[in-house]
Amino acid sequence: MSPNRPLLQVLNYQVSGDLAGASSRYVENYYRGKPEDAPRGDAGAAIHLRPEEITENAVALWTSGAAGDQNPISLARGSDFTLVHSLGKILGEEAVRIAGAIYSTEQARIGGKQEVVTCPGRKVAPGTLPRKEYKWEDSDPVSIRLSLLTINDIALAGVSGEVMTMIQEHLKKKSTSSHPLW
Amino acid sequence: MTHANGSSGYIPDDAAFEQVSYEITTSRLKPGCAENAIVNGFLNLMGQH
Repeated sequence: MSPNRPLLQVLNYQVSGDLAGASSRYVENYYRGKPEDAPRGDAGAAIHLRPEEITENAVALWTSGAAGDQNPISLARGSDFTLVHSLGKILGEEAVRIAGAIYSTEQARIGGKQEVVTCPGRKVAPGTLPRKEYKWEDSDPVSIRLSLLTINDIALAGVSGEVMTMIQEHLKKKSTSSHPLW
Repeated sequence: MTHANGSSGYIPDDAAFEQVSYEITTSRLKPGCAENAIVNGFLNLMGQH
């Protein structure tokens, strides 16, 4: 393999968690030009490259951005994946376009740190269904693990939960990194 | 990146707790903590880098 060919491409996309888990293979298999191996059943996007853009042996690492308040673009059920393929093609072409602008560097400083923050917990109090109003009672504290990977001035931030969009925006505004990625 | 290294459930921003939605009612968090804890936690980690 040429030293300048990518081994891995990280794709961070704010999409419903419905796409997370086993279906992330869907993205990778498309990226590697093996759509026939992609598992079926999600209404999320898939990478779909033209044959000349296929990168043998490269891995597409899919990560889900802060999308706790975003529903899937399509909630369709069944076996018609036309919309999925269309969304995947749009996303895939954008990923390829961006990948074309990637530059390499011979030196990089890589760092990693993590921290666990804990917040008070609550749960819905028992009541008759359907609820006219919600009442809450105290529950166990919730631990949230924060993971930070830095590559030079690029900061990749990870959270152990399904984060809503405005928390990401809040961090971006206050971030000291010139390239925060969440 | 979310869903990373654990499963803390839905994490709403402070303002979102005013809503009644699936995400809010199934979150295990009390309002008023997580947003600043996450932002300040990352700023602290970035400061150590």
